[in-house]
Amino acid sequence: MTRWEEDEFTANDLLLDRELIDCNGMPAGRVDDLELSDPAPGEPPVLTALLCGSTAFGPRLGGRLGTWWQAIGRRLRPVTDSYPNRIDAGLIDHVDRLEITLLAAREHLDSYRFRQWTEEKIIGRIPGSTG
Amino acid sequence: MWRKVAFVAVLGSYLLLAACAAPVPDDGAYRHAALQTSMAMVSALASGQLAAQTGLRGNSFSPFTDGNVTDAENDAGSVNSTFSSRQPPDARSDALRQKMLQALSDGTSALTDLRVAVRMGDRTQVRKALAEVGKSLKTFDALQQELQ
Amino acid sequence: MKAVLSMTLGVMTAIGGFVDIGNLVTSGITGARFGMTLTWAVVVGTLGMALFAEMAGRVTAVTRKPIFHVVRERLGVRVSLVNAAASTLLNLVTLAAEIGGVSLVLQMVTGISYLIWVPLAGLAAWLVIWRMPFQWMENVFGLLGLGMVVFVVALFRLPTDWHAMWHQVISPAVPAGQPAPTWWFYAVTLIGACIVPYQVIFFSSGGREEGWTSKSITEMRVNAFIGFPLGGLLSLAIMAAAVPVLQPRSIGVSHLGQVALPVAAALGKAGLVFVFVSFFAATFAAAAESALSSGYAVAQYMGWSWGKRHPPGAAARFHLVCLASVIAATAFILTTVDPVTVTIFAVVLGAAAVPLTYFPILIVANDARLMGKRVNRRWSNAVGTFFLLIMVVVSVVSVPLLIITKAGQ
Repeated sequence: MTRWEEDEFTANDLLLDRELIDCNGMPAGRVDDLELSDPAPGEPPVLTALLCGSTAFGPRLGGRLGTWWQAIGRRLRPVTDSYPNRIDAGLIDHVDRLEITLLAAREHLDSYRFRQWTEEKIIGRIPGSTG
Repeated sequence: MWRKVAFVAVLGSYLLLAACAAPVPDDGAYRHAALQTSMAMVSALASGQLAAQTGLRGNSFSPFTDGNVTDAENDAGSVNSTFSSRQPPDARSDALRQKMLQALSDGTSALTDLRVAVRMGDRTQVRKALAEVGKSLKTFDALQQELQ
Repeated sequence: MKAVLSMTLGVMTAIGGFVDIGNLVTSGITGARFGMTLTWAVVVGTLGMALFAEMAGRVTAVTRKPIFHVVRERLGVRVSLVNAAASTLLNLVTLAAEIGGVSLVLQMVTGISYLIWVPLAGLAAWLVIWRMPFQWMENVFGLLGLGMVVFVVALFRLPTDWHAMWHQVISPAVPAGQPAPTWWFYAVTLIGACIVPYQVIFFSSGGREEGWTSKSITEMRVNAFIGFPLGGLLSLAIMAAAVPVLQPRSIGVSHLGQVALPVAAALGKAGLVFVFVSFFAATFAAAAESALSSGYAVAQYMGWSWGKRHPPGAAARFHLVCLASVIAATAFILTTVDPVTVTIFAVVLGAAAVPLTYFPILIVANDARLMGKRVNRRWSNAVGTFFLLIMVVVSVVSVPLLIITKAGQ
């Protein structure tokens, strides 16, 4: 059950650009966009997922720069689907003015891919990376 | 999109024309350049002199002294080549040019001699070179007074 | 007792950490050319930096996040992207200047050409970022940097005309025979040498690395309001030492060795040793810090994990940015561009960019919901806004002055 700090708020106030912290306290990216779905015809839309990554960030940036950012992000993905990385709303633990805490570990999120690639291919190859 | 390109092209050509149509160098500008050159030479000579004197007094390490004197020598060299390549605008400036070239040549060779002496660690040579540097400093001081 | 020791250590590292290649070069140049008439610029710059840092530090301590985080959240995607991009670019230029500075110091000590040292300096700076524990890095280099106090000692051994210098300090004017635009240009460079964006980013991110909370605010304020001004005093000492030695001989400073000459003349080899060690510590630490700040800026903006408190593998993209910055900056300096010229450009661009980096912090520090009872008081807003206006003026004139005076001729 997600705990929300405030009863009434705007997406800008509490959600957009907020940092995501996973269940281990590690940063897991930022909220770049929101996924809202209609639960049933006539019902107001509900938040079903948080979206993260360059394919979500590009459109928010807008303009030509945003289009490029999104295009590059799409090219760098191993999957052909261009829909941004989803973090299901059910995984959100707590939302307050400072950050959004998740119930899952960041390794299990889709947005972990880029980070994992960097670690494997570049940083992991340099001696001394395991600290 | 094309409007923007056209605008940039026009602006660019305007700036280019303005730059090329720079005022024709005249006597005054040449004298000013000579003054700047003299001031730069005074700085380089005095810097080399101070560094070498500090070294002679045992107040610095030889790589440090060497480095400072070499810097001074290089500075003088580049000032020399920059001024020498300037085109004098008229015959009157040509006389000034001869004077400057002579002084510049003496100054740069004084600093070269100083650098050689410092690197060899020969105190007598250093003192001799310092005397040359001192003479050159006086020449440029006088030139500066004249040109101001 | 432990708190006092820790606070003293903090102040001392702040002093050494404040001075970097920008201060060394600009203080040397202006002392030799303009005497102490530009002291006011150092005062403005130092006070500005202290204010800026305190505000950023307070935001970090209260929100327990570094400033780029909060900036993106409060100001939105586009504005903060401009901010982050400008800061990163500036950090790169500064990093190049610092790596050049380290190499120049090593050339001064050994006589071996600075170009040989450049790749080594870059590698060493990166290794420090990669492996050296954060506290260790700050403390060791900060304390070694205190050796610059030798310039103060030198002042007492040189034929310093204290009376004349004091007069120049309190009634500044363009010295006779010097062009006014150049005097104003160097004022801008002195201010830019004091208010360096990477130092604010580092101050704030470093605070997170050390786990600052609201309780740390007093200690943070002591660092900002005592440490930085003392650092400013050291810069002034370097400026002052040039006055009795270089100015009477009409020596214009264009190499780092000339900045050290007054100490050699006054205190001999012993003095020079202090200069070598402290100059190296100051520039090397600044190189590591500006590389880290590049990483901080990008990683914090993007929401990646960052910082030295994680093992490198756990903050992979942060370290990638740091590594890429070091490589780019090193490559730039290896093109044999004059490091002193790069330094001048870095401080001018820094001065021009201050409103961009400062304004978001002012806004965030005023957000009562975020800051609670630590929000800006009215007087601190008044001072902060006044200072911002000064920096806007400085920013507007900086690039035109750069062009008019052809970088200070």
